[in-house]
Amino acid sequence: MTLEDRVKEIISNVMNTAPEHIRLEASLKDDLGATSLDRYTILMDIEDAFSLELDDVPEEELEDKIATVADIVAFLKARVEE
Amino acid sequence: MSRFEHEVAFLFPGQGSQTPGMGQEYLREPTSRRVFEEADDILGWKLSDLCSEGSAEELKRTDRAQPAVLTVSVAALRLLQEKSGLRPRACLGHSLGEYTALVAAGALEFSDALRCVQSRGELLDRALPANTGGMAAVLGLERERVESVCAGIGDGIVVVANLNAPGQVVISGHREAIARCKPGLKAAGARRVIDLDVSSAFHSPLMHPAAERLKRVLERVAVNPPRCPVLSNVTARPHGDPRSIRTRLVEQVTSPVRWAECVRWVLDSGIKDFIEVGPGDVLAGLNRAIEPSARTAAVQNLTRSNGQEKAS
Repeated sequence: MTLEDRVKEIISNVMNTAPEHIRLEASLKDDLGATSLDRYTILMDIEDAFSLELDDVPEEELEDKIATVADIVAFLKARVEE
Repeated sequence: MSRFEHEVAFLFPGQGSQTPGMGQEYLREPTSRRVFEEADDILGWKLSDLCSEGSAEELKRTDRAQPAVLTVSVAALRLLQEKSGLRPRACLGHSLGEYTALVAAGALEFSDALRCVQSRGELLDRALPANTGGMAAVLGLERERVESVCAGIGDGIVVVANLNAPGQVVISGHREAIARCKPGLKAAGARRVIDLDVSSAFHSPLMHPAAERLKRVLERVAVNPPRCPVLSNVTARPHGDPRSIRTRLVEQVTSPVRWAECVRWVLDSGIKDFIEVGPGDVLAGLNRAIEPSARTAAVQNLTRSNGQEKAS
């Protein structure tokens, strides 16, 4: 499974929608209807899935840094490569 | 609409759900517009302007946010009921939303609920000196662990204020003491501790001065037996007779909101469909975390879609 597919699967579990409905360019908030709690839940599930700690992302930056599905994928790729 | 023909519960949001322009679409429809006109008359100021043009900053004030969220929610309720004829099988509201739920179930007149909520907002605002109270969401730690960290903080009061969903507990108290709790909460295993954008320590013992005065306000309004179960935030069980409704509403000011248990009661009674009636979608998000099989629709999707709904 690619990193992209894993991210989509995590989001689909939290948002209770089918992974095939989740497009890369989808905005978590506007297109998928994620509340701030949903966004934190997604972040925490990603931490578990990838054995990462992302709590250095300040709340006020969360909305900009992970606005879309593609943002999460890019953010993760950068982290995994570090 | 057929999906919601039978068993549906109405959910009503509390403070924090307000957004700029949240009243605009309801001001365009005569049925919901009348709710704003009634509110403007009762309050003596233009709540309708606040809900259409007010800034996020203006809407944040507790004494404004509370009547605004109640009024927008009741406007949405009236429009929903006009368009769909839906009758809820159960009503539940988060904190101030409990008043909206009581209006929807016929236990409170809107005008009386608005007067209560206006006073409630002012009293909560004044219960503590500015910037001394606060609230924070604690994610990924169960209630008991949160409570034991808060209880051991020494100077100042911090208590559990909302049990929103599994792994989402909100704490409330002295702002400075909440800050001191954070390292302990993290050490106990909390994944995140997020400060909430509120000016006071709602649902904590620090609100006792407000509860005392709210009791006198509630004594002056008529309360009727609800037409369907309305969940009490304090007991997570349906409200009883009018006298006990008043008592529970006073207790609510200083007690934790047992939200997840309220939703669970509705689910256990066989209702799986919910409509979130009011601004925002915070409660739909909590429903997802409480029970993934629960279906929650936003009221805007049911009131906006004239043409499509009639065609289907």
